[in-house]
Amino acid sequence: MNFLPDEISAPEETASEIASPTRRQWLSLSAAACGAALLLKAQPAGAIGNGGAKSLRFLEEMELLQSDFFQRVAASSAYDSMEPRERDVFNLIAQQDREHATWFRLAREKMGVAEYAGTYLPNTSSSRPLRMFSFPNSAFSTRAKLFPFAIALKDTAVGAYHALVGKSGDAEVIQALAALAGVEGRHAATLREISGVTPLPSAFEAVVSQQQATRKLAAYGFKGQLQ
Amino acid sequence: MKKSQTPTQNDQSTPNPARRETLKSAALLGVAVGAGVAVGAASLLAKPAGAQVKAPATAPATAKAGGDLAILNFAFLLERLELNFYSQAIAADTAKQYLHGRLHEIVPIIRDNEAAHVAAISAAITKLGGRPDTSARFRFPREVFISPITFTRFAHTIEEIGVGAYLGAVGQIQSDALRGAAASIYGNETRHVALLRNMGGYTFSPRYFESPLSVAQVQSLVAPYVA
Repeated sequence: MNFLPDEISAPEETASEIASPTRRQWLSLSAAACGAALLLKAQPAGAIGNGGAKSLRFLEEMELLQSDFFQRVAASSAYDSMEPRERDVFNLIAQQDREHATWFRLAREKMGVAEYAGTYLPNTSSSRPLRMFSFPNSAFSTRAKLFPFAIALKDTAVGAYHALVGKSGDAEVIQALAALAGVEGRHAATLREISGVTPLPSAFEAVVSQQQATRKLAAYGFKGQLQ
Repeated sequence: MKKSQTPTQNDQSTPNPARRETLKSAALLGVAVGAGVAVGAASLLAKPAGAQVKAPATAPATAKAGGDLAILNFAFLLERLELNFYSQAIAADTAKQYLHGRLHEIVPIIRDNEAAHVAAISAAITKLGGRPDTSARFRFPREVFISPITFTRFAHTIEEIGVGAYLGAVGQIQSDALRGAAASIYGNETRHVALLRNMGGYTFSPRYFESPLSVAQVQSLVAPYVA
């Protein structure tokens, strides 16, 4: 049964492709929705289901990509030409995306989910991880190019979150993901607003499936954890 | 209790909260929601003695116990409250021109979003065999509709309550389709909050996660504005 207007499309994949982890395994996620510190009190729940691990890694990678991008903005020439208020927006988004990524890492570690092998590429010469993602230099060159790129990233992230919120089968998981998705929505709206693009393109948030998001972001090194 | 103000409302028989109490309520409410400390928020509010939102006929004491229809009916009440608020704001602006610049442009868009939410939820209630409860009437302090400062403060607080309500309930929704629809509306509401906060001079995203509210908390928080 469809409860949304017809123009709101559903994600492509079936619900079975995003298997929900068990309630117990996600209790720490729910707790952390009310504060990351609470997560640290949770005990590892052991092995997580394959679908749940994929979802967790998928969103972690999404946040890592965003965090990487928005941190690079601060060192770009486009940033230099921004007004102070615009810089504040980008700085806060970078900070909160970094916090999201950290949250996912902590949640994953507590639940015993191994890091995806392809997330970090070992740099044997210095033992430092290489940067995982690569964005076109032109995206950072001017304000006019930066804003549309940033908005596209955020729109994809917001849609990906909402696709998973709608399909997860566990109340704690849903609430935890929704708690983070809401902040992503704030980011998207504010980015759009300061760039002169309508911040409210629809009365309903669109969803972006994992496959769609992966296709959109693959050019920047996003793996999507679908293999 | 200070001298009561003439209410701007659609139910003239219902007394309006005194100005001082109302502003105090809004301020405390903002602090409570903004801090993410939902527990006990109701007790902070200086609401009229005995004031409590009358829950829709099908709404139970807790959303979890009542099923999807009860959650929908409660969401319907909140969306109608928001729609009524923005409708009154626009009507007042027509007479007083207190909304300027971007605020003057964005408020009608938000109002239209809320109208779409009301229509979608109403249709969903009907699809599930229920009947949308339109009995509630709403009243808001007149002071909210005289300056952009008081308006944005009150508006983003009302929106924060809506966001918290959706987040508190979304995990309890049993139907996947309905949950996806609720999340979609919730995402749009987070955009409203960000925009209104920004225009009111507040940080658009004060935390990296959204905070849920229980049904009882939401009922208490909106009680002064529902007849």
